[in-house]
Amino acid sequence: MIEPGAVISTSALTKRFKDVDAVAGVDLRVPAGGVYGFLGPNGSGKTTTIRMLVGLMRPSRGVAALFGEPVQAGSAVLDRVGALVERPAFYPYLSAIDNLRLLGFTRGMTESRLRAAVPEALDRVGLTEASKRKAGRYSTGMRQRLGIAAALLGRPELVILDEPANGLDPSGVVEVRQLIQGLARDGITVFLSSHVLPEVEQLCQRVAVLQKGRVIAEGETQAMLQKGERLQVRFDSADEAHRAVPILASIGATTPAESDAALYLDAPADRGSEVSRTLAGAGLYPAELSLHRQTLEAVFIELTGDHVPPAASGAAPAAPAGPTGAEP
Amino acid sequence: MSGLVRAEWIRFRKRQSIQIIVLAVPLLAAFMFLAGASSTGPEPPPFDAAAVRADLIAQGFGLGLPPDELGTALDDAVEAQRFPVEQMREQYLLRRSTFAFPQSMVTLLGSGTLVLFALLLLVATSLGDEFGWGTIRTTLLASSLRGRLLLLRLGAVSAISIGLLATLAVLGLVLPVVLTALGTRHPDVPSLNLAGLGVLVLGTLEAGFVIVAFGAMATLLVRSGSLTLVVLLVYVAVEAAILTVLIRFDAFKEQDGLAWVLDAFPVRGISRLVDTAGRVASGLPRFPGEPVPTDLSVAMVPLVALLVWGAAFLAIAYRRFTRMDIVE
Repeated sequence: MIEPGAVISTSALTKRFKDVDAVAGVDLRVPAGGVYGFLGPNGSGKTTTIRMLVGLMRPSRGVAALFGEPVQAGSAVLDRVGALVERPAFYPYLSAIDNLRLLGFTRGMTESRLRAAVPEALDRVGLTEASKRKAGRYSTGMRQRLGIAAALLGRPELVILDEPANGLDPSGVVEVRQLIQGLARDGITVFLSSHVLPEVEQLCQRVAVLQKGRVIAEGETQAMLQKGERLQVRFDSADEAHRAVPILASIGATTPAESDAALYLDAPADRGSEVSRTLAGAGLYPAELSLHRQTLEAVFIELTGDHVPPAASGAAPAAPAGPTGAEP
Repeated sequence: MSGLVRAEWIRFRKRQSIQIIVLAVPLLAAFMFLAGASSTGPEPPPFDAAAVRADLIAQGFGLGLPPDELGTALDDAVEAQRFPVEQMREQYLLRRSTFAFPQSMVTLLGSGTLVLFALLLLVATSLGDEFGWGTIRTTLLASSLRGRLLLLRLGAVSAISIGLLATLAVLGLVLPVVLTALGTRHPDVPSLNLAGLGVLVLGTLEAGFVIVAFGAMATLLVRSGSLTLVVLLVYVAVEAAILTVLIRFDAFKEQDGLAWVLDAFPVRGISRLVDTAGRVASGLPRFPGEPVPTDLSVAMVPLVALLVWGAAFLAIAYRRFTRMDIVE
């Protein structure tokens, strides 16, 4: 079902290639504003989903909608979207300026508008100096920057970026991060597909995790990270840690930590004093009690590592195997 | 729409392969025209009865014959040589006539095969490279008006083809002057058959339309420019094979029967149309003594069939492009 208030919404979106469902009944709802992360291992169907969102592919089943309007080839709503999908491709015999002018004219922009928009877009991605060089002579990173510039041309309301940091050096990655933050500040909704999870963690207010064509987790990034929060209790010896396991069972499940003398306790941070009291009551005094927070990377690996979605094709997204955030 | 036209102009104007193709056609046509004109050799002298008679006498012809019989025998021998010599001269003048204005225009327009091949190359490279470079994705991200983009591209190629034909016509005007300047004497030539010229121009344009539509269809089906050329070769071989089979049946040999069906095949149709219209337009027989052809009815079947073929190829190309998944 298309949700009118959402910038992106998909309903049972499916793409079948021969006998394989590359995307199998994806339901997404991306609210306006902010940065939305779209994660998944290689081959999980992220790019195919994006291609359907921007009209490059036709869904086998289901609907993709932008700003409440179903996406079809020729949909006027696509004019409100800027996108970078996979490796950016440009006419190698044309300069960056000519490539952007060409795309601007194709988008329906006027000459006078392009006179300001092209230098602005090139400046935004740091390509002003190389703007007259032929795109065929660009490095991978420069092409990536040009791809981002092309996506930003015409000030779209929604920017879809598929692995924008690909091929960029560390400073380039930082620049792209700042660029995305800037876009979000300007009120542009950014739909970001990325493998650079620390970046996603910093940038995205919400994320969806895709695996084998299905959404296996979706929600607020912070909520997703908090779900993985636990207390780390470190003792002076492995023996003390061993003795603490049955005592802490009344508070939560324990799992061994990296060190023999430490334990992870599935309990939120506000139960720290209770843990101290319980252990003290049993004559055990922890050397350190700290909050262990998972990274998005760890959450991602936990979610996708051994998760096997149900076999039924086209069904509603599978129930999350790991921590998920609040429903939208 | 004007934006799309400007974008197309940026694409085409700096594209070296297109510049080379566009320049090569008139250059090759001019070279072939001049080489053809120079290959006719020097003009054979008119038949000189007195010189032939003297030559015969010098060779001892009729030695020992009585004088009254010798005169008759010499007259017969001279006349016997008159026909082949005069026919050779007429054949020469006929050939030279094709290089004189205005027949030179028909000769150059008749070399339209070159234009047709150039058109196929233009379509195959301009569309095929979009897939090879992946710029089809970039372009469709900028505008989802696929049908309009395709028709505009084919329109641009068609405009180039009209330009090329116009260039050939101008060459037909200029090259006889060049030949005259080089010392060539042009024979007196009949005026052009305007109806034939009209059909020749129309037929060449129609053939161009078929080639452009076929090239677009093949390129979009195989997603490659170079493979399109292979597809064309395969198609030509298949059509030749089908015609070889059909022509074995009596019904396809009789003009009142199904012979017209053979002319409805694209390659044979183009050849038949250009050949017939070219001969009628020039007002010249193929060999001395043959009546000047004026019948254009043979061209009607190809004229209609090519229009149908072109429309069919274009419809397939259009449907394919507007519905295809862009995986590049």
